Amino acid sequence: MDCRAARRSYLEQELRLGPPAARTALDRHLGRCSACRSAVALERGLTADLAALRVDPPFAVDIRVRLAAELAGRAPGVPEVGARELGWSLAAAAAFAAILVFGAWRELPAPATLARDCWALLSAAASAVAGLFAPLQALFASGFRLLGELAGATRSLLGTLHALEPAATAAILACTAMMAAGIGLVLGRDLMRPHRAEGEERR
Amino acid sequence: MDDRTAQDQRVVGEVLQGNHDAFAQIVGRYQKLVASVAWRYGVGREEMEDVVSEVFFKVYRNLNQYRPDHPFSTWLYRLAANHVMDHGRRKKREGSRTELPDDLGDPAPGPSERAEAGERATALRRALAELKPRYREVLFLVYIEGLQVGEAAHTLGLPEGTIKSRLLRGRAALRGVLDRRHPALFAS
Repeated sequence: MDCRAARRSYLEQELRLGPPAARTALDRHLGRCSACRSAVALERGLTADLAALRVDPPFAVDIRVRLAAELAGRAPGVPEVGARELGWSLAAAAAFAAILVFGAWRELPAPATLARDCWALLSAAASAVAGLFAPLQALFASGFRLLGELAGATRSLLGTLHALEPAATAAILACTAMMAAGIGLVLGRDLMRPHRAEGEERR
Repeated sequence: MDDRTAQDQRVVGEVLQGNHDAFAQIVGRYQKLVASVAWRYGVGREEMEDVVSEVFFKVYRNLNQYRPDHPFSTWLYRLAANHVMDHGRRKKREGSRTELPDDLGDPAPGPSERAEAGERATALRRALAELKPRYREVLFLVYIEGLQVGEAAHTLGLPEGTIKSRLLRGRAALRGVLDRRHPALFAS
Protein backbone atom coordinates (compact mmCIF):
# COMPACT_ATOMS: atom_id res chain seq x y z
CA MET A 1 0.00 0.00 0.00
CA ASP A 2 1.43 3.42 -0.97
CA CYS A 3 0.91 6.67 0.98
CA ARG A 4 -1.92 7.91 -1.25
CA ALA A 5 -3.82 4.63 -0.92
CA ALA A 6 -3.16 4.58 2.83
CA ARG A 7 -4.69 8.03 3.39
CA ARG A 8 -7.70 7.16 1.29
CA SER A 9 -8.03 3.87 3.10
CA TYR A 10 -7.99 5.68 6.46
CA LEU A 11 -10.93 7.87 5.43
CA GLU A 12 -12.80 4.79 4.18
CA GLN A 13 -12.13 2.95 7.43
CA GLU A 14 -13.36 5.96 9.37
CA LEU A 15 -16.63 5.76 7.42
CA ARG A 16 -16.70 1.96 7.91
CA LEU A 17 -16.59 1.51 4.15
CA GLY A 18 -13.47 -0.47 3.41
CA PRO A 19 -13.07 -4.24 3.80
CA PRO A 20 -11.66 -5.40 7.18
CA ALA A 21 -8.52 -6.71 5.44
CA ALA A 22 -7.69 -3.13 4.38
CA ARG A 23 -7.44 -2.20 8.07
CA THR A 24 -4.54 -4.60 8.55
CA ALA A 25 -2.75 -3.26 5.46
CA LEU A 26 -3.31 0.30 6.68
CA ASP A 27 -1.96 -0.47 10.17
CA ARG A 28 1.10 -2.10 8.61
CA HIS A 29 1.71 0.97 6.45
CA LEU A 30 1.21 3.38 9.35
CA GLY A 31 3.67 1.37 11.40
CA ARG A 32 6.49 2.22 9.04
CA CYS A 33 5.45 5.63 7.57
CA SER A 34 5.66 8.63 9.88
CA ALA A 35 4.35 11.05 7.22
CA CYS A 36 1.12 9.04 6.95
CA ARG A 37 0.86 8.80 10.73
CA SER A 38 0.91 12.62 10.88
CA ALA A 39 -1.56 12.93 8.02
CA VAL A 40 -3.93 10.46 9.69
CA ALA A 41 -3.66 12.37 12.98
CA LEU A 42 -4.64 15.55 11.13
CA GLU A 43 -7.60 13.84 9.48
CA ARG A 44 -8.71 12.43 12.83
CA GLY A 45 -8.58 15.96 14.28
CA LEU A 46 -10.60 17.33 11.38
CA THR A 47 -13.28 14.68 11.88
CA ALA A 48 -13.48 15.61 15.55
CA ASP A 49 -13.69 19.32 14.67
CA LEU A 50 -16.54 18.62 12.24
CA ALA A 51 -18.38 16.51 14.81
CA ALA A 52 -18.01 19.37 17.31
CA LEU A 53 -20.18 21.49 15.02
CA ARG A 54 -23.08 19.21 15.87
CA VAL A 55 -24.73 21.49 18.40
CA ASP A 56 -28.29 22.63 19.00
CA PRO A 57 -29.31 26.26 18.59
CA PRO A 58 -28.87 28.30 21.78
CA PHE A 59 -32.49 29.50 21.62
CA ALA A 60 -35.91 27.87 21.56
CA VAL A 61 -38.14 27.78 18.51
CA ASP A 62 -41.89 27.38 18.78
CA ILE A 63 -43.87 27.78 15.58
CA ARG A 64 -47.08 26.00 16.63
CA VAL A 65 -49.29 29.12 16.82
CA ARG A 66 -47.88 30.62 13.65
CA LEU A 67 -48.16 27.36 11.73
CA ALA A 68 -51.73 26.72 12.90
CA ALA A 69 -52.70 30.12 11.44
CA GLU A 70 -50.88 29.38 8.17
CA LEU A 71 -52.44 25.95 7.81
CA ALA A 72 -55.99 27.00 8.68
CA GLY A 73 -58.37 25.86 5.97
CA ARG A 74 -55.79 23.77 4.14
CA ALA A 75 -56.16 20.04 3.66
CA PRO A 76 -53.17 17.82 4.48
CA GLY A 77 -51.51 15.81 1.72
CA VAL A 78 -52.26 18.28 -1.05
CA PRO A 79 -48.98 19.49 -2.54
CA GLU A 80 -49.02 22.98 -3.97
CA VAL A 81 -47.70 23.63 -7.44
CA GLY A 82 -44.46 25.56 -7.10
CA ALA A 83 -43.81 28.78 -9.01
CA ARG A 84 -41.12 27.07 -11.09
CA GLU A 85 -43.32 24.13 -12.10
CA LEU A 86 -46.15 26.56 -12.89
CA GLY A 87 -43.78 28.68 -15.00
CA TRP A 88 -42.57 25.68 -17.02
CA SER A 89 -46.12 24.42 -17.54
CA LEU A 90 -47.27 27.83 -18.76
CA ALA A 91 -44.26 28.14 -21.09
CA ALA A 92 -44.94 24.67 -22.56
CA ALA A 93 -48.64 25.51 -22.99
CA ALA A 94 -47.75 28.82 -24.66
CA ALA A 95 -45.32 27.12 -27.05
CA PHE A 96 -47.93 24.51 -27.96
CA ALA A 97 -50.58 27.21 -28.48
CA ALA A 98 -48.17 29.17 -30.70
CA ILE A 99 -47.60 26.09 -32.88
CA LEU A 100 -51.34 25.56 -33.19
CA VAL A 101 -51.95 29.21 -34.06
CA PHE A 102 -49.21 29.16 -36.72
CA GLY A 103 -50.65 25.98 -38.17
CA ALA A 104 -54.13 27.46 -38.33
CA TRP A 105 -52.84 30.75 -39.67
CA ARG A 106 -51.28 29.00 -42.65
CA GLU A 107 -54.73 28.02 -43.83
CA LEU A 108 -56.06 31.60 -43.79
CA PRO A 109 -55.82 33.82 -46.90
CA ALA A 110 -52.80 36.15 -46.78
CA PRO A 111 -53.59 39.79 -45.87
CA ALA A 112 -52.88 42.04 -48.79
CA THR A 113 -51.30 45.09 -47.25
CA LEU A 114 -49.42 45.92 -44.04
CA ALA A 115 -48.34 42.58 -42.68
CA ARG A 116 -47.23 41.00 -45.94
CA ASP A 117 -43.62 40.55 -44.90
CA CYS A 118 -44.63 39.45 -41.47
CA TRP A 119 -47.05 37.00 -42.99
CA ALA A 120 -44.37 35.53 -45.23
CA LEU A 121 -42.12 35.02 -42.22
CA LEU A 122 -44.82 33.40 -40.13
CA SER A 123 -45.91 31.32 -43.10
CA ALA A 124 -42.38 30.02 -43.53
CA ALA A 125 -42.20 29.21 -39.82
CA ALA A 126 -45.54 27.43 -39.97
CA SER A 127 -44.43 25.43 -43.03
CA ALA A 128 -41.29 24.44 -41.18
CA VAL A 129 -43.34 23.26 -38.19
CA ALA A 130 -45.77 21.42 -40.48
CA GLY A 131 -42.75 19.88 -42.22
CA LEU A 132 -41.65 18.46 -38.87
CA PHE A 133 -44.94 16.61 -38.54
CA ALA A 134 -45.08 15.38 -42.18
CA PRO A 135 -43.03 12.19 -41.60
CA LEU A 136 -45.26 11.33 -38.64
CA GLN A 137 -48.34 11.80 -40.80
CA ALA A 138 -46.85 9.59 -43.54
CA LEU A 139 -46.03 6.93 -40.96
CA PHE A 140 -49.60 6.85 -39.68
CA ALA A 141 -50.96 6.72 -43.25
CA SER A 142 -48.70 3.75 -44.07
CA GLY A 143 -49.73 2.03 -40.87
CA PHE A 144 -53.42 2.39 -41.65
CA ARG A 145 -52.87 1.17 -45.21
CA LEU A 146 -51.03 -1.90 -43.94
CA LEU A 147 -53.79 -2.63 -41.43
CA GLY A 148 -56.38 -2.39 -44.24
CA GLU A 149 -54.39 -4.82 -46.40
CA LEU A 150 -54.02 -7.24 -43.52
CA ALA A 151 -57.75 -7.12 -42.87
CA GLY A 152 -58.44 -7.82 -46.56
CA ALA A 153 -56.03 -10.77 -46.61
CA THR A 154 -57.54 -12.21 -43.43
CA ARG A 155 -61.03 -11.90 -44.87
CA SER A 156 -60.03 -13.70 -48.08
CA LEU A 157 -58.22 -16.43 -46.10
CA LEU A 158 -61.29 -17.00 -43.94
CA GLY A 159 -63.42 -17.20 -47.10
CA THR A 160 -61.13 -19.85 -48.56
CA LEU A 161 -61.12 -21.86 -45.34
CA HIS A 162 -64.88 -21.69 -45.20
CA ALA A 163 -65.12 -23.12 -48.73
CA LEU A 164 -62.87 -26.11 -47.90
CA GLU A 165 -63.86 -29.40 -46.31
CA PRO A 166 -63.67 -29.40 -42.45
CA ALA A 167 -60.87 -32.02 -42.51
CA ALA A 168 -58.71 -29.88 -44.83
CA THR A 169 -59.35 -26.80 -42.64
CA ALA A 170 -58.24 -28.69 -39.52
CA ALA A 171 -55.07 -29.88 -41.30
CA ILE A 172 -54.19 -26.33 -42.38
CA LEU A 173 -54.78 -24.98 -38.87
CA ALA A 174 -52.63 -27.75 -37.33
CA CYS A 175 -49.80 -27.01 -39.78
CA THR A 176 -50.02 -23.29 -38.96
CA ALA A 177 -49.92 -24.01 -35.21
CA MET A 178 -46.87 -26.24 -35.64
CA MET A 179 -45.09 -23.59 -37.70
CA ALA A 180 -45.87 -20.95 -35.07
CA ALA A 181 -44.57 -23.22 -32.31
CA GLY A 182 -41.38 -23.88 -34.30
CA ILE A 183 -40.77 -20.15 -34.84
CA GLY A 184 -41.45 -19.53 -31.14
CA LEU A 185 -38.89 -22.16 -30.11
CA VAL A 186 -36.19 -20.77 -32.43
CA LEU A 187 -36.77 -17.21 -31.27
CA GLY A 188 -36.87 -18.24 -27.61
CA ARG A 189 -33.60 -20.11 -27.91
CA ASP A 190 -31.93 -17.10 -29.58
CA LEU A 191 -33.21 -14.77 -26.92
CA MET A 192 -31.95 -16.98 -24.11
CA ARG A 193 -28.48 -17.43 -25.63
CA PRO A 194 -26.88 -14.09 -24.43
CA HIS A 195 -28.06 -14.69 -20.86
CA ARG A 196 -26.64 -18.14 -20.85
CA ALA A 197 -23.35 -16.87 -22.27
CA GLU A 198 -23.18 -14.19 -19.53
CA GLY A 199 -23.87 -16.79 -16.89
CA GLU A 200 -21.15 -19.03 -18.25
CA GLU A 201 -18.69 -16.11 -18.39
CA ARG A 202 -19.45 -15.25 -14.78
CA ARG A 203 -18.78 -18.80 -13.75
CA MET B 1 -41.86 -0.91 16.14
CA ASP B 2 -41.24 1.24 19.23
CA ASP B 3 -43.87 3.28 21.07
CA ARG B 4 -42.80 6.57 19.59
CA THR B 5 -42.94 5.29 16.01
CA ALA B 6 -46.34 3.74 16.60
CA GLN B 7 -47.60 6.94 18.18
CA ASP B 8 -46.26 9.02 15.27
CA GLN B 9 -48.02 6.81 12.78
CA ARG B 10 -51.27 7.05 14.71
CA VAL B 11 -51.03 10.86 14.79
CA VAL B 12 -50.21 11.03 11.06
CA GLY B 13 -53.27 8.88 10.38
CA GLU B 14 -55.42 11.23 12.46
CA VAL B 15 -54.15 14.29 10.56
CA LEU B 16 -54.84 12.63 7.23
CA GLN B 17 -58.35 11.81 8.38
CA GLY B 18 -59.04 15.48 8.98
CA ASN B 19 -57.99 16.06 12.59
CA HIS B 20 -55.87 19.15 11.93
CA ASP B 21 -55.16 19.74 15.62
CA ALA B 22 -53.20 16.50 15.74
CA PHE B 23 -50.59 18.10 13.51
CA ALA B 24 -49.65 20.40 16.42
CA GLN B 25 -48.45 17.28 18.24
CA ILE B 26 -46.10 16.45 15.38
CA VAL B 27 -44.81 20.03 15.31
CA GLY B 28 -44.32 20.12 19.07
CA ARG B 29 -42.42 16.87 19.03
CA TYR B 30 -40.10 17.59 16.12
CA GLN B 31 -39.60 21.36 15.81
CA LYS B 32 -36.43 21.20 17.92
CA LEU B 33 -34.96 18.54 15.63
CA VAL B 34 -35.73 20.60 12.53
CA ALA B 35 -34.32 23.76 14.14
CA SER B 36 -31.11 21.89 15.04
CA VAL B 37 -30.63 20.64 11.48
CA ALA B 38 -31.24 24.14 10.14
CA TRP B 39 -28.90 25.73 12.69
CA ARG B 40 -26.05 23.35 11.92
CA TYR B 41 -26.44 23.99 8.22
CA GLY B 42 -26.11 27.72 8.71
CA VAL B 43 -29.65 29.05 9.03
CA GLY B 44 -29.38 32.11 11.29
CA ARG B 45 -31.56 33.03 14.22
CA GLU B 46 -33.40 35.74 12.26
CA GLU B 47 -34.71 33.34 9.61
CA MET B 48 -35.00 30.24 11.76
CA GLU B 49 -38.76 30.46 12.36
CA ASP B 50 -39.41 30.97 8.64
CA VAL B 51 -37.33 27.96 7.66
CA VAL B 52 -38.78 25.67 10.34
CA SER B 53 -42.31 26.76 9.38
CA GLU B 54 -41.57 26.07 5.72
CA VAL B 55 -40.38 22.57 6.60
CA PHE B 56 -43.56 21.76 8.53
CA PHE B 57 -45.67 23.35 5.84
CA LYS B 58 -44.03 20.98 3.38
CA VAL B 59 -44.56 18.06 5.77
CA TYR B 60 -48.25 18.90 6.02
CA ARG B 61 -48.71 19.16 2.27
CA ASN B 62 -46.82 15.94 1.56
CA LEU B 63 -48.08 13.91 4.50
CA ASN B 64 -49.88 11.44 2.22
CA GLN B 65 -46.52 10.50 0.71
CA TYR B 66 -45.21 9.22 4.03
CA ARG B 67 -45.01 5.41 4.01
CA PRO B 68 -45.22 3.77 7.44
CA ASP B 69 -42.56 1.15 6.63
CA HIS B 70 -39.97 3.70 7.88
CA PRO B 71 -40.09 5.74 11.10
CA PHE B 72 -41.78 9.10 10.68
CA SER B 73 -38.74 10.84 12.20
CA THR B 74 -36.50 9.50 9.38
CA TRP B 75 -38.87 10.77 6.72
CA LEU B 76 -39.16 14.13 8.43
CA TYR B 77 -35.38 14.38 8.86
CA ARG B 78 -34.82 13.78 5.15
CA LEU B 79 -37.38 16.38 4.23
CA ALA B 80 -35.89 18.91 6.67
CA ALA B 81 -32.30 18.27 5.55
CA ASN B 82 -33.25 18.64 1.89
CA HIS B 83 -35.18 21.80 2.62
CA VAL B 84 -32.38 23.51 4.52
CA MET B 85 -29.88 22.53 1.85
CA ASP B 86 -32.18 23.94 -0.85
CA HIS B 87 -32.49 27.06 1.26
CA GLY B 88 -28.68 27.31 1.41
CA ARG B 89 -28.38 26.91 -2.38
CA ARG B 90 -31.09 29.50 -2.97
CA LYS B 91 -29.35 31.96 -0.68
CA LYS B 92 -26.06 31.36 -2.43
CA ARG B 93 -27.69 32.01 -5.81
CA GLU B 94 -29.15 35.22 -4.43
CA GLY B 95 -25.68 36.34 -3.46
CA SER B 96 -25.55 35.85 0.28
CA ARG B 97 -23.08 33.21 1.39
CA THR B 98 -24.19 30.31 3.51
CA GLU B 99 -22.29 30.56 6.74
CA LEU B 100 -22.74 28.62 9.89
CA PRO B 101 -23.62 30.92 12.80
CA ASP B 102 -20.71 32.38 14.75
CA ASP B 103 -21.79 31.21 18.17
CA LEU B 104 -21.86 27.61 17.07
CA GLY B 105 -19.22 25.32 18.52
CA ASP B 106 -18.43 23.07 21.38
CA PRO B 107 -17.31 24.99 24.47
CA ALA B 108 -13.96 23.76 25.78
CA PRO B 109 -13.13 23.59 29.49
CA GLY B 110 -10.67 26.45 29.99
CA PRO B 111 -10.71 29.99 28.57
CA SER B 112 -7.69 29.46 26.27
CA GLU B 113 -8.95 26.07 25.05
CA ARG B 114 -12.37 27.60 24.55
CA ALA B 115 -10.87 30.44 22.55
CA GLU B 116 -8.91 28.03 20.38
CA ALA B 117 -11.88 25.73 19.87
CA GLY B 118 -13.98 28.72 18.94
CA GLU B 119 -11.36 29.90 16.49
CA ARG B 120 -11.09 26.47 14.87
CA ALA B 121 -14.87 26.16 14.68
CA THR B 122 -15.18 29.57 13.01
CA ALA B 123 -12.41 28.74 10.53
CA LEU B 124 -14.02 25.40 9.77
CA ARG B 125 -17.44 26.97 9.22
CA ARG B 126 -15.95 29.48 6.81
CA ALA B 127 -14.03 26.78 4.96
CA LEU B 128 -17.20 24.68 4.64
CA ALA B 129 -19.03 27.69 3.25
CA GLU B 130 -16.42 27.95 0.50
CA LEU B 131 -16.97 24.40 -0.75
CA LYS B 132 -19.21 23.50 -3.63
CA PRO B 133 -22.72 22.66 -2.35
CA ARG B 134 -22.46 19.03 -3.51
CA TYR B 135 -19.44 18.51 -1.24
CA ARG B 136 -20.73 20.61 1.64
CA GLU B 137 -24.01 18.66 1.72
CA VAL B 138 -22.45 15.25 2.10
CA LEU B 139 -19.85 16.45 4.63
CA PHE B 140 -22.68 18.05 6.60
CA LEU B 141 -24.85 14.93 6.60
CA VAL B 142 -22.08 12.45 7.38
CA TYR B 143 -19.56 14.27 9.57
CA ILE B 144 -21.76 16.85 11.31
CA GLU B 145 -25.15 15.13 11.41
CA GLY B 146 -23.54 11.74 11.93
CA LEU B 147 -25.48 9.83 9.26
CA GLN B 148 -24.11 6.61 7.79
CA VAL B 149 -23.14 6.74 4.11
CA GLY B 150 -26.22 4.69 3.20
CA GLU B 151 -28.51 7.04 5.12
CA ALA B 152 -26.95 10.09 3.43
CA ALA B 153 -27.45 8.39 0.05
CA HIS B 154 -31.10 7.79 0.93
CA THR B 155 -31.54 11.38 2.12
CA LEU B 156 -30.07 12.92 -1.02
CA GLY B 157 -31.49 10.32 -3.39
CA LEU B 158 -28.03 9.45 -4.74
CA PRO B 159 -26.12 6.17 -5.09
CA GLU B 160 -23.80 5.25 -2.21
CA GLY B 161 -20.82 5.30 -4.57
CA THR B 162 -21.53 8.94 -5.43
CA ILE B 163 -21.76 9.86 -1.74
CA LYS B 164 -18.50 8.07 -1.04
CA SER B 165 -16.62 9.81 -3.84
CA ARG B 166 -18.08 13.19 -2.87
CA LEU B 167 -17.03 12.61 0.74
CA LEU B 168 -13.47 11.82 -0.24
CA ARG B 169 -13.25 14.75 -2.67
CA GLY B 170 -15.06 17.03 -0.22
CA ARG B 171 -12.59 16.14 2.53
CA ALA B 172 -9.69 16.86 0.19
CA ALA B 173 -11.26 20.17 -0.85
CA LEU B 174 -11.89 21.11 2.78
CA ARG B 175 -8.34 20.21 3.72
CA GLY B 176 -7.12 22.35 0.80
CA VAL B 177 -9.10 25.39 1.96
CA LEU B 178 -7.95 24.96 5.58
CA ASP B 179 -4.28 24.58 4.56
CA ARG B 180 -4.52 27.67 2.38
CA ARG B 181 -6.39 29.93 4.77
CA HIS B 182 -5.50 28.64 8.23
CA PRO B 183 -2.24 26.71 7.99
CA ALA B 184 -1.35 27.37 11.62
CA LEU B 185 -4.69 26.29 13.08
CA PHE B 186 -5.11 23.00 11.27
CA ALA B 187 -1.52 21.86 10.74
CA SER B 188 0.21 19.45 13.04
